[in-house]
Amino acid sequence: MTSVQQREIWNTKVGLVFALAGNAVGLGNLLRFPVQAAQNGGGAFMVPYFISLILLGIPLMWVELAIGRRGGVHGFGTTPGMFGLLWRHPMARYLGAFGVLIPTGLVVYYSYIVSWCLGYSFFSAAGSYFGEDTRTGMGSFLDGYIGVEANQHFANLGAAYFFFAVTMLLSVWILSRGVVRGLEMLAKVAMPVLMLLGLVLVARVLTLDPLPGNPEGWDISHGLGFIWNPDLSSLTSAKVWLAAAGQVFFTLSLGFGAIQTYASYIREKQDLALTGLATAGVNESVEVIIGGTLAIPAAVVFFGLAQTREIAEGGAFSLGFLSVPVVFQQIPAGQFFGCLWFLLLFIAGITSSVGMSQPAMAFLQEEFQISRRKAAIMLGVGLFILSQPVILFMEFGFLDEMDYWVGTFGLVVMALMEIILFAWVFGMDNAWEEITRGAQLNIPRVYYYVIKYVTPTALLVILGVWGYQDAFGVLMMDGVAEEAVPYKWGARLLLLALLLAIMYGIHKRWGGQPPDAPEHMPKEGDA
Amino acid sequence: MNGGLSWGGMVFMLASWLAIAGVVAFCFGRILGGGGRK
Repeated sequence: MTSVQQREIWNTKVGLVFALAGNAVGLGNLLRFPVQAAQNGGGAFMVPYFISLILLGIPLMWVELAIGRRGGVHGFGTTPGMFGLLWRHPMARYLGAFGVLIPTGLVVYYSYIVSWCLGYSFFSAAGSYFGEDTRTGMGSFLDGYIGVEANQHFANLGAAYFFFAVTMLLSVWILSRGVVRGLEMLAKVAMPVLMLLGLVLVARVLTLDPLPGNPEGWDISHGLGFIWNPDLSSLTSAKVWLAAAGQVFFTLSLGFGAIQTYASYIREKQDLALTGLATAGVNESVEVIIGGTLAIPAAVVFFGLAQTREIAEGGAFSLGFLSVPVVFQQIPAGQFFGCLWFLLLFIAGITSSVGMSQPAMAFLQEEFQISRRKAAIMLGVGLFILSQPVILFMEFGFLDEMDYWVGTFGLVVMALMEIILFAWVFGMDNAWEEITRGAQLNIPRVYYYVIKYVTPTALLVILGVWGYQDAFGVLMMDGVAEEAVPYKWGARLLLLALLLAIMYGIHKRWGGQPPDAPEHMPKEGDA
Repeated sequence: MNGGLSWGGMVFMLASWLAIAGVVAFCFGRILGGGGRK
């Protein structure tokens, strides 16, 4: 694909669903979900979770697919062009800049974390961390790997840079092969492998024996009970409903700008309704069936309930990189299963990181006529350079600051903008026609009203509560150590510079002119 | 929360798994079978 006149299209429907699911399935499915479920009412968490999925997740997925397909029909693979089609105002394209900023800003640090999974897969196979059989010991191993301290395992950041370079080269290679030979091929191989690895690990966890000398007799039944035993009183807690809505939002990669780009490679009259539902289904199977059965239940068997509560409160990274490796050191063939666990995380991560990179690829290729290979190399080099402060200043919270603004708050802002533009500015009748065109599934008419009223309201509530509870404090750097303040400002300036660069690109491409009547751009294979 | 998996927990877990597996089977049945409204 070198021209907007002939955009690539997905080769098969299954390939499209796997690619979208690969984009959506990430580290959050395997690490964030079980922590959220365990902290918010166990099995009862699934009630607000599924309701949020039905009222927020799936409708937004359809909205993003419809915006993306419409954009692709007119030759646009990113939200600046797509928003210009929804709102005939020069401002629309500048608002669309967030749909390039968010995935690109995210991938700056996400690809580094993904490279840890590759590194840890190797370290598991080689038994490098075996012997560090406490969480504190594994914390020291991680600190050595990411350069916070020099220790007997790592003298410098050499290993971290090696695995990061391998991850980046692999991503650039996949991106340079294009949509069908790169992204679709990866998804067709990676998703079945991911499912298989996940099911092998689920079988292993479900057959874990209690530790000898374990006076409380913690076993896998306690582990599953920790996640699934329902606390029905949690259903009346606003905090639980908000946590469920937030998890649904993160897990489906909504508000990133990446789903829209993937959807821009769908044919004009090809189904979106069934595709969106299938994508959500595959994502949920990885999250609820595999993610809900692995890390937390295994932690309960080996650490007991009290410590697992502490682990869950420590967050997803502590669970994945500090606790689970301790478990592997205590089971037969632990090196093998440890390798599989981190390989599973790596596959989940890399299918998402290439997905997050594709909007920047499409922006460079389509709006500036840069060849695919050149765009992939430019992006790879650019991301490698931008990620340096993330790597070097991690202990000062550089990554956390970026993650908050683009990976948490920014997503909700982006989703709110797009649903208002689509359902209210473009108009709900047009939006409904766009979503249902070519549908292989009858979407109940009630979703017309859900998309118009319920989903935007839910997003407003999430944004309002998060803004009130967190955003102001984060903005004012409440509780931030004095020495970390300059680094946090550095992270903000980096994001601002990236945003201005994208806006400058939009200005160069369109010159702030009001959008003309959209021109129909045929895709390969269109009649 | 201190006991093993309760009946309620098992019901929530299996119902969630079945619902998700059902949606995936339905969707892939339609996609691979090419059925459904055009």
